Amino acid sequence: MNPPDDRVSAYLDGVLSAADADAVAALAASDPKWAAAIDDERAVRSALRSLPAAAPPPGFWTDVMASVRADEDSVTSLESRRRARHTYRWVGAGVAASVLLFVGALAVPNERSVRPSVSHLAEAHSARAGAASDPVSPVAPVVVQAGLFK
Amino acid sequence: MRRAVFVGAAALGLASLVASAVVPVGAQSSGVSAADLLGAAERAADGTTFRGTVIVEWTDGTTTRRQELPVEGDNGRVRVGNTVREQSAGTELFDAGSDWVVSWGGTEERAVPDPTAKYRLSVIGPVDVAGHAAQVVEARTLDGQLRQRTYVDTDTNLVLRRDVVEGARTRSVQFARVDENEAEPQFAHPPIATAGVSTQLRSLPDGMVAPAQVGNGYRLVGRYRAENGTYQLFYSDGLFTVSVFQQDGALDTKALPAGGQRVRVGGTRATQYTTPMGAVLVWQRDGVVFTALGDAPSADVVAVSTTVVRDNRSTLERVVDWLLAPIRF
Repeated sequence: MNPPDDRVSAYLDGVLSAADADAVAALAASDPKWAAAIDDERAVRSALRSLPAAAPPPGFWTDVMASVRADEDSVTSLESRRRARHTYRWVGAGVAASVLLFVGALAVPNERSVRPSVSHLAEAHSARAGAASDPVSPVAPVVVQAGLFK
Repeated sequence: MRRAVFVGAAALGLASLVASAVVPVGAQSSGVSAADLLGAAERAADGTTFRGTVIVEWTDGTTTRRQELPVEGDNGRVRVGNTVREQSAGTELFDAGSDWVVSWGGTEERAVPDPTAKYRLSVIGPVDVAGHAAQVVEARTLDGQLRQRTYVDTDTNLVLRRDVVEGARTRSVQFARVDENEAEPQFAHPPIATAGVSTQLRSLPDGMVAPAQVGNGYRLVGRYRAENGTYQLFYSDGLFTVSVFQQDGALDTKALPAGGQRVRVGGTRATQYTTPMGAVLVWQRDGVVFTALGDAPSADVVAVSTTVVRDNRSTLERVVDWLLAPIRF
């Protein structure tokens, strides 16, 4: 004979098929161990049902709700996480582009080397000053050209 | 035309001093005002022929330098060595012995500041310059510091000498000898203009600066672009002028002439030269090379440069300009 198994609990719950329920009933009738197992399980259930209903301690539900609210505050929604990730992605792209531009700017050789021709600039200035009719003022820029700057 | 507008505007400004500018000696007897005298002096060379020798003197550090050059004038054209300048076709510079011409275009009316906002003008004299009697127009700052003397021939109104006073130093250009209305110089004008023409601009491209007011009373009266890409800002305080040139690129410091002095202008390192024309300052920033020069006292050129250095671009704009400088066209 097989020892009593979990069919005992299922039998009392009434969830066995008709064939299985008949088989368990036959075992209980023929095997004292099965009959005792069924009686013990039934007694335990009866004892549990006879226990009085236990009320939660004062403040229990208040504490539970406070704890739930605290958890809600600490939780970041998936949507906000998604937005943040989107922003970080653009910032990252911007930084990367700036770095590339910076490196590119450094890498591109600046071929426009400027050698200011002070003599020509002096002439351009004195022409703007309208000093052509003044016989002495044009002399200074010419001296600049002749003597100091080429 | 352009010079006439410029001189006319300056003369209008000077005219407000007429009542107070007539001063001592010779001027009192003739009743000539400083404004009238300067206006007449500006026009004198247009109707005069002359030939002479001009001496340029300036101080470089502790050394006084002197240069002597032949000068000729022919009714509006002035020739110094082989270089001839004339006003009739705009302003042109050409080589009498060659075939090159440089023209400066632009006939804009410029709002030249009233010089009396900064200076008191007066007439003294006469004094002798190269054997000619001359009246002297003095320009002093409002606190009495002498800045410029202009010596004007009492007979022909030709400018015979000009002194720019900088403290104890004086930069001068003067005739050592001059014969007026005796010779008839002939200058051959080349038939074809072979050099560049600059044009007037309403604004400057990004990355370049054009403050309207700079230094101590200098106002922007013109923006130009030469064919070689050089931008010119032309400033005036009504008496002196300063130009700030801007060129894209990196300054080739090795190509700068010797004799420069390293200075800091508005927090930027610059090289300063003393020339017979006045101070010259060269510096670079954000891929632009700046050159400031003019006939103004050196302190004024430095003050103008300082204002230009301290432009009002934001830090971000400066960073962007610096980054884009190598690829800017």
